[in-house]
Amino acid sequence: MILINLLPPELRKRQGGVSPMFLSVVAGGGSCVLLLLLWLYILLVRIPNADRVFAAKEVELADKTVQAAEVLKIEAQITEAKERHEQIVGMMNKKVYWARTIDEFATLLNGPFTVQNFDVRCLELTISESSALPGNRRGAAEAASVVFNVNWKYKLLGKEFVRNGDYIKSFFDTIGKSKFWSEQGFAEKPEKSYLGDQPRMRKEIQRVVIEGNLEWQRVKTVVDPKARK
Amino acid sequence: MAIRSFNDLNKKQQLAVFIGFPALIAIVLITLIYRSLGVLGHDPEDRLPGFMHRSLPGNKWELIQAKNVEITAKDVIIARGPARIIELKGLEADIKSGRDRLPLDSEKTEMRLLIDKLARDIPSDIGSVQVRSVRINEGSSAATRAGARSGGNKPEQVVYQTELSGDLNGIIKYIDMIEKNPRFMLVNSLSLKPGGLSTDEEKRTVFRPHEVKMNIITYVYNPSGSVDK
Repeated sequence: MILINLLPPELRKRQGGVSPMFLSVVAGGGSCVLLLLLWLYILLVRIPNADRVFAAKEVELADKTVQAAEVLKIEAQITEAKERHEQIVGMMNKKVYWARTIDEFATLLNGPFTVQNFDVRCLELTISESSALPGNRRGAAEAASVVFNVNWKYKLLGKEFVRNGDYIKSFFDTIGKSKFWSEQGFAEKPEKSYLGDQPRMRKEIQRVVIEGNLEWQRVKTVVDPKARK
Repeated sequence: MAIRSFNDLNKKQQLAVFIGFPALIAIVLITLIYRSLGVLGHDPEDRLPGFMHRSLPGNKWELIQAKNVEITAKDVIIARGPARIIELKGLEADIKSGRDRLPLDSEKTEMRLLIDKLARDIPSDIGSVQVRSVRINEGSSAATRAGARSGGNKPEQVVYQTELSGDLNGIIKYIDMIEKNPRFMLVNSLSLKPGGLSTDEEKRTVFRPHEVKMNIITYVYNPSGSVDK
């Protein structure tokens, strides 16, 4: 026999197991609620938290930027001070002193010379810095040397006309062997720029007069302060 | 109406609605979560499983990490601070020396006065020198000057073209005083014309003063930082 359930569907006895409808409502709804909570957690907790952390980092960075700027300023001062010190040392190394040189030059011209009976006068003296180096010392040494040209006009007054050659030789010999020449850094020999002379007898003063121009070069080798360290 | 329509559906259709509707909401929520996670970036504190982390360009934690990198860089600079302060204190003597040797651009009149004062300070038992004129010739290179004025590293050269007269000992003493004065760097050009001899009314020999032209070189310096403060 076939058993027919004539009850309306809502009064019919439920079949065994979980209703798929119920399952779908619970599972689907539960999943949606969980997902909604997760989204709200991210949206309302994590992102604002990240914003707060970012703001705090910005404040920290601004503070540390100020502190770092102070350190950089000190470093700039150190660099500037060191550069200035090096420049001063460099300039001091290039410095050539003239007071003692002129003093010794004046003393030298007063004699004595290896030959007696003549005097030397300086009619004009010009000292100027030169970029040229004497002889073949150009090139690598150029940057490491300071060169000064010493131009001067000499006048020899001797007692005997016939000894004018002796006077000239004695004049250059005395200068060449002097402390002045060896210690003041003069290059080559004193007579290098000597181009001859024309002695004249001045009867009114009873002296033979020899005049001429000389050009000497004084070289100072500059020692690089960095190379010295 | 909608409920009635839903009731009119058969069971399969109703089940499809029960599954489809939460699934649709879930998809929407997952999309929102996915996008929010991208905006958030890799949050080390969110306790979410690693596979959920994703990063959109410019996300919040990427910006925070960038700030952290900047802060670390600043920390490195700040860490050098104490050592730099000690180093700067150690350089105080050099800084003072630099200040003494390289006058400021604004001190030219003081330098001019010093040139005159040094001549007056020569002891009368040594000699005498009279300053006739001083002409200030600043650095030839406009760029050098501009550099010095704006706190550049290169000091500006200033040439004091000085004309003076005096006896030899006074002139030598004057040059010596200039060369030994910390403010003056060097005498780079000198031209001396001996004064010659003449006789006074009582027929006594009188030595006329020598005429000297010399270039005294100094370097002025305008600090960029607070080294001179």
